[in-house]
Amino acid sequence: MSELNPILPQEIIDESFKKPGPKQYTLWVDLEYCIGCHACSMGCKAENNTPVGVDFNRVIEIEEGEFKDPKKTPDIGVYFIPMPCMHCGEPACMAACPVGAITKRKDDGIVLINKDKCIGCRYCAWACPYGAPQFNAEAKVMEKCTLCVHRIEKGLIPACVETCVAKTRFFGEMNAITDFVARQKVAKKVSVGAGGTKPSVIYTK
Amino acid sequence: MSVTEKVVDKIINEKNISVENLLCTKLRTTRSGCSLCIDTCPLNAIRISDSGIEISGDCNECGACISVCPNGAFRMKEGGESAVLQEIRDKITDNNGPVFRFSCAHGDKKADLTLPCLGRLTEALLLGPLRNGASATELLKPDCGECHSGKASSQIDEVTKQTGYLLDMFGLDKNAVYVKRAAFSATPAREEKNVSRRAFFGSVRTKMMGIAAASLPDGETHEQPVSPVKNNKRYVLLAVLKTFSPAKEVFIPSADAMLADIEISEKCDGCGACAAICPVGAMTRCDSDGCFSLGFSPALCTNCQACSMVCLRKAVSIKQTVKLNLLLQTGETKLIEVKKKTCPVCRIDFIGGEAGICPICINTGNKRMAAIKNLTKGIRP
Repeated sequence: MSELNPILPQEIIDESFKKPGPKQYTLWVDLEYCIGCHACSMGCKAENNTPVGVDFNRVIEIEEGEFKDPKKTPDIGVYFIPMPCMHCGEPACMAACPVGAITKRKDDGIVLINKDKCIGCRYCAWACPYGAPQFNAEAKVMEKCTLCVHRIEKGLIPACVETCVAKTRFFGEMNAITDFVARQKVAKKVSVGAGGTKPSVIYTK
Repeated sequence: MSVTEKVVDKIINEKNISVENLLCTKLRTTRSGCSLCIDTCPLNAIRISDSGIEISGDCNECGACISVCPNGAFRMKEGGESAVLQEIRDKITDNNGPVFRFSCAHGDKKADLTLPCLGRLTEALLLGPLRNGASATELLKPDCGECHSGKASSQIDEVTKQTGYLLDMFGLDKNAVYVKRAAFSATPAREEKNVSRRAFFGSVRTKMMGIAAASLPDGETHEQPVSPVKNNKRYVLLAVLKTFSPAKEVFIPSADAMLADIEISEKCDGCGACAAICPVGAMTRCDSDGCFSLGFSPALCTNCQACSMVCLRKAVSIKQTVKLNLLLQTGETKLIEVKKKTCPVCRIDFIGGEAGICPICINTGNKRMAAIKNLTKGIRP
């Protein structure tokens, strides 16, 4: 099973927490085993208590290919793609924010919105290539995935990772995960990169 | 820092100048490159960081920052704008001289009012004597090159020029406020006051108590202001301007003006960033009756241009010339009023956009799909 469905060893997660100096916490999503159950979205919603319409994590379903000729093998693909905040290396949202409310934390690379500073102009939503920042109409501020920073600070893993039914979503330090993924026979890293913002979330297939 | 250290620090470094971070354009938006105070401060004592404006111990309280900041982010704790105006009024009844003479501490000691530095003067203070019956305001300016606050000299010229525009508007002689060269005296003049011993120790006690209270690690002293902070400097000027009556319309180039005239184009998408950022409350947003509207009070505008710098759609533009008489206009004008629609996707009200869906939802959807396309391309080459 582990050969087919690589699971991030606990040591790597533990090491991620212990590693001194600047690091980039991130998520690893193995698209091969995502079954599109939306448990991550629900776990996130419950954990962060987001209002209707605001979802820090969305699972997008994609159907691709053609099945026109019944004599041929159908060339189709169905993907479930969870889209959290990519906690980019060079966040477009941070550059777009006119009041400097968005910051990338130096020690763990998490991109956060300071709700006290945010004026709700939604420039970050215009800038983000992944549709991560969402407008909270009640509070009139922008919100987005925080990588469950309140849980991470307690030494826990993000809610979406904990709740993942298919064990296809992992939390850890970016370089540690990249090294681990490179050693796998099956999982192949695919890039979501668009707009040159250096997204940190790792997708494999 | 312990309480004792804080108290000692306050006693040594406590300045008569207070700062109001909410009024600073640079702190309101990262887009602004305003550095007027930093550039003008003769002793390079001002620093602006994320935590706010800091005045270092080098400050000699010349007050050039108060004069140069259009938003009134700097204030004298004692001897503020209103206090100096009151002093001018008192001195004029004493003298009844036709010309009111300001001097700095290094200038003519016989002047009607001696300030630590002439760089502290504002338009309101220069108009003060004229309002109270003086025929002209004379600035006795020694050679600023010899003074350690010499850099503030440019500010004197700027304020004199601005006052000239105002005088022109009231049909008064532009040269009623002028600079006159005076001899430089190396020993600064100090106003000597006869203070009784009781009064002296009384004032020391009051000041120390204030410092001690402010140094206590108590949440109370860091309370957020309840009402929006007002640009006191502009309100004082408007009060002084009220005592004059306008004679003619004066148009000046926007780059040179103390206020701006703003236009909003139909590109506006109602984000309200301009109103949220305006440090002086000249732009206001109103969302009533299913409409989005922007109000503008030209009398409060300080031409900081934060609104136009911030606007993503480039919908806010500043007119080339501005009518100075707008300073006397009370109330606000509506710049834009558009009916709002509700987006069926995000259920948030929006304006503009051709389709029934808000432009942000369309943009976000498109971008998200482009990212996913990029991803699936890697999976299915």
